[in-house]
Formats: sequence, C-alpha cells, structure tokens
Amino acid sequence: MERAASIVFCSLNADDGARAFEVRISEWRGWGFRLALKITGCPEAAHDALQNATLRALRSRRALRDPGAELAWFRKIVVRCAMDQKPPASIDVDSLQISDEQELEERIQVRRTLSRLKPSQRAILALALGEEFSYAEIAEILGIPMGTVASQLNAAKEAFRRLWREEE
Amino acid sequence: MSDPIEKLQNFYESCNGAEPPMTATLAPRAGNVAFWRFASLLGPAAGGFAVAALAISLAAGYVHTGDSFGSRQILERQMLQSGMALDSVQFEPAAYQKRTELPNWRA
Repeated sequence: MERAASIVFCSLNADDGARAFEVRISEWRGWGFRLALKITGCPEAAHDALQNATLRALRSRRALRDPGAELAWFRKIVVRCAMDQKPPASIDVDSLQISDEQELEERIQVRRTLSRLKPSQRAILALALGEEFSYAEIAEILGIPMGTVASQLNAAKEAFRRLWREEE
Repeated sequence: MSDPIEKLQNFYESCNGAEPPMTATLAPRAGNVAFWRFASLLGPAAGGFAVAALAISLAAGYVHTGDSFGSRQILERQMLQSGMALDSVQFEPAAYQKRTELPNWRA
C-alpha cells in the first residue's frame, strides 16, 4: 500500500493531481479516523478532524517534495487537526452501543477525562499508548525534542489519573 | 485499585476496530470549496447589487416574503385604506400564508 501511495504522490504536481489525491487518500480514511478517535475520544470530533485533515492535505499537497514521506506527512496533519478539535461537552450514550453497564460507565468516564486533558496530552497518550509509536516517532510527529517525550508522557499519564479520580 | 491508564488502554483497543462513517468522504466538502470558489469569482459588487435589489423589492412590496412580517405590512396597508383601526383586528399570520396575489394598494 505504501508503494501504491508513493506512485500516486508522484502525480501530485500534475494539474489533475488533486483528483488522484482525493481518490487515494480515501484508502487512508480507516487508520486516520482511528488515530483521530484515539486523540479526541469522540467519533464525531474524529470525523471532523479527518475531514479537516483531508482538506488541508489537499490544499498543501504541492508543498510535498518527498513522495516517500507522504504517509508520515498526512499522519502529522491528522494529529494536528485532531488536537484542534474540542471534544463535545455532552456524550450521546446511545451512540456508544455498549450493552454492558460497567463497560459503558468506564467508556463515558474515559471520554470525560480525555476531554479535560490538554490537546498535547491527549495526543501524546494516543501516540504512545494507543498507536505504540517510538519516542523518536512521537517527537517527529509532534515537533517536540525527543528528550522531552518521556517526561511529557509521564505528565500526561499523571494528569489522566488525577482527572479520573476527580470524575469518580 | 486498578490503574486508570488500563481503562484508557482498553478504550484505545476498542478504537482499533472502528471505521469512519460512510459520509466521511471529501466529495461534499470539495463541492463546498468549489461553490465558494465560484461565488468568489462573482465579486462583492455582484453580491451587493443583488442584496440592494432584494431590499428595494421588499420595501416596495413587490416581494412577498411569506412570513408574518411581510404579511403584517400588507394587512396594515389594507386596513388603513379601508379606514379600519389597526388595533381592532387580531392579526393571524396563518391566514395570509396562502396568499397568492399582492393587494392592489396602488389603486
């Protein structure tokens, strides 16, 4: 799939490259949505983030010079757009489609706790714990020094724990 | 007591099976972008002319908005012509929603 993406991105500089880009980027909707969902905690916000990321990538596609970096480039855009999304204050319980009451309560509490974290904290938790990226990859995606990833991740975990106890 | 981070990791695992809604395509948004690009080509002058023309039409009574405000104006005009006191009649917007002709107040 990565080679197919590379071939497609070679046509980005053509005038009809936009259409080819739109067609191919649809192949990345799945993982892009899941990444945004882990950062925002909310399907609706993740959907909006994915749409914004796709539009932003479409507009700035000509700035991409290295076809081999297209996936990492789009991933950064998705993360940025997900961080810009503010999770909604209310949760549609019916949309969660969870029958187990305990699991439902946990899910609601997770979403509420995530919504109270800073965007950078939500992002680093999702990238480290949800996507299992290395510290070097996280530093590249977030644009932060690699030496600070461990401390920022620990701070995010502590913030989550503290806010979780407040929600109980 | 279990670590809340475990709950968070359970949530992340549940996300791995999630799929975006079928409406999550670029087409509608691209359509919106294309629309506004087209509209921007018209320029502010054309839009301003259209707004001015609409405002003039509304003021002259040539355009019936169909809402209670436009209907009230027509009703009051009729009442004044017939010599009726404006506060003697209860205005019912529904009665004027189905009007198809403007009154000939120029007569």
